[in-house]
Amino acid sequence: MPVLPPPSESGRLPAASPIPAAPVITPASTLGAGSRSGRRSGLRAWLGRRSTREAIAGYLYLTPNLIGFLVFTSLPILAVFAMSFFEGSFVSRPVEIVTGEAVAAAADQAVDGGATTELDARWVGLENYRRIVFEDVAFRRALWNTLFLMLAIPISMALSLGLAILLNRKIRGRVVFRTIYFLPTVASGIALFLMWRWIYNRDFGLLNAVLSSVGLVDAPGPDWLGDPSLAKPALMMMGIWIAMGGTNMVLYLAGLTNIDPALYEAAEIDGATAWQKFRHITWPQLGATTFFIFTTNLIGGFQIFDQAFVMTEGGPWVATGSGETYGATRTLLYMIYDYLYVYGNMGYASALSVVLFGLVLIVTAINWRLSRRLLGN
Amino acid sequence: MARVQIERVSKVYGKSDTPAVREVSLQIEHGEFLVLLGPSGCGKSTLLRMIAGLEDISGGEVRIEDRVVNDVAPKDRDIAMVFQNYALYPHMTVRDNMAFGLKLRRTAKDEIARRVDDAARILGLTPLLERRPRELSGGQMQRVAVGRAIVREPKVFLFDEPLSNLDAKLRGEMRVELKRLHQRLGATMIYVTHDQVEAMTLGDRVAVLNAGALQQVAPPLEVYRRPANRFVAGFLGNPPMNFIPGRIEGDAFAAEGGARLALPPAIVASLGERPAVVGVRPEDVEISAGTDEGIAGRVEVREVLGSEAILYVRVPGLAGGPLAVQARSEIDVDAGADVRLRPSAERLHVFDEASGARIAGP
Repeated sequence: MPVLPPPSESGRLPAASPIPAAPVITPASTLGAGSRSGRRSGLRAWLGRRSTREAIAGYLYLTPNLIGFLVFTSLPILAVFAMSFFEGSFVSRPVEIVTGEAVAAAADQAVDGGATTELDARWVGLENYRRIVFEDVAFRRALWNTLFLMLAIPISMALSLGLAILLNRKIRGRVVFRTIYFLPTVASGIALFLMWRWIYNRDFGLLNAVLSSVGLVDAPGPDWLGDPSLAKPALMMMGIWIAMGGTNMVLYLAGLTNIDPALYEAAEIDGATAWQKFRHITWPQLGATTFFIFTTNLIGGFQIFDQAFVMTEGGPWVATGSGETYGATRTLLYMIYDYLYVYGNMGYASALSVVLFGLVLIVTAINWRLSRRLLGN
Repeated sequence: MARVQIERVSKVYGKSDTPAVREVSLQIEHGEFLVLLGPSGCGKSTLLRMIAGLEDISGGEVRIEDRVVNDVAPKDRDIAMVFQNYALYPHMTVRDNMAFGLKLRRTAKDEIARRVDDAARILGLTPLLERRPRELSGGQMQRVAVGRAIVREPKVFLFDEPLSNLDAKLRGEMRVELKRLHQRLGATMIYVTHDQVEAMTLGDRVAVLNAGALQQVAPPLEVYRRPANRFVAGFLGNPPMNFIPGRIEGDAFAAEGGARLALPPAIVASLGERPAVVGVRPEDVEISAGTDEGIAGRVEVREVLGSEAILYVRVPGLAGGPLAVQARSEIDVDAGADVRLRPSAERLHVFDEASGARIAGP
């Protein structure tokens, strides 16, 4: 009787060996039986496999980062979700004291380390969310302000792309220009904001000085940051100025250098004009870059805070006829800041944060869908 | 179809002292397939790109169909170009890639469809028309690139190393396909390559370039059989031609190292006393063991290539490396064997040592 070759380590017959014409094939030679012996040493075989060992090593390298992410990002996020069902500052404060006797008792307890304080937090369930969605006019104003300021994103992206295309040309001193345009990104944001506060100053600012010198406005000129109808556009203009030469431009430059120059040459021979080359090569080839910039800018846009904080403190403030007062540049994040640090209501601030998170999530998801359709992968 | 005339064309980049292309003159006839051949950096691609209009011409004139095109935009030169990396528009389907140039020229829709379908049928691309480039293999992308050129029905086709990104087998297939295409279209084609096999098989004529200068223009076999200089002789042929430097002493050629070679009297007479280099192709040497006739040597390495074998034979008294000799693979000679070599006298090439120019030969 012919001898069957022994099953190889994986439990299969060696591929190269011809199957002998055995009159009776023993179960040991079938695949099923082979995998039985494989199962017995399965874990050890799995651990011994190179891909497994590499995966384990990989996760080990990731561990410090994962732990950091868990402790400093995931847990706080969960805490915010939890706190959004409460009202209060989440700061410990002394228990309410009624009588002199209780004071003494409380003092004793304090010495003993007993509970003389309580956490300022009351369970309110979904009340915070109900207020945000159905009642809070200030939230609607802040959301509107935020979305309005975000209109600057497409404008600044277009300018970044234009700058990147210009600076991608082989012109003399392009490195110098790239550096100049990038400088605002390196400078401290606060310093830039303070500079723009001066530019926008009604009486001594650069902008009004220039405008009145060419006769466009009469002195003293518009109060850029003090006029409710001008404050938002003024902030947007500053944001565009800062953003257009910054990271977005660098990303676009990187994207541009990745485009195969032969594509442009082929288009040149095909007879494409400069606009057609942009429309049919540059723009589609930069699709992934544009999507990335748009998404990150959208997320950043929902979080606009510091420029309003420094430039306008959320104002100028407008009083409506119905007794409502609102800030023309008070953004969502500004509101969260107020509830947290000024009004001392961590619960409501948390609920606002969750709503903001939800908004960012929805917008990003839509953006993702859209880009998948447009980019095709 | 058109004639392309290149007259004393030069290319100098920036403030560089050495031109990338120096005063090259070529006439490419109606329907001719001309191959620009040379090592990398020899200026062949630059020359092609100047014909295409992708590079400015520093000096000289390029004429297509008797029209000077030096200052004519690429799109108005009535040319089409196939790039080494295909340069297909990544976000367009195969159909749109081929139709793009026609659309830009506002060709009628049904005319575009007809031409694209025709080209797709010729190239076997019909089932792939709605795919995007990244869904294609290298060979298919190459076909699309060729198709994009065909639909334009240009006067001149320009190919810039179109097959060098393909694997060897595919390259062979595409070579045959390009040859067939040329026979079918009968169009003028200028083809840049560093691959001598492509040059030999595709070209009606081959123009060999080195260091920006034209070395020789001739039909492939003539370039191979009667190389104009030592560079051309050494560049074409695999393994390359054997070179033996030396000079005439008395009635024979004294090689550096001391060996003496008998040369035909006519060559001896024409050479005089100047230093020269004798060249002999591996297939022009007869090798045999067990005779006393010919130059004695010992086989160092034997390479079997299939039907043929290359024997590297060390000859005492010859400076430089061993001589490569081509023989049938059945030959009963192994490494270490003592052999006799008999170069074919009428197939010897003689070059001037200093200039490399051809002095005598078949």
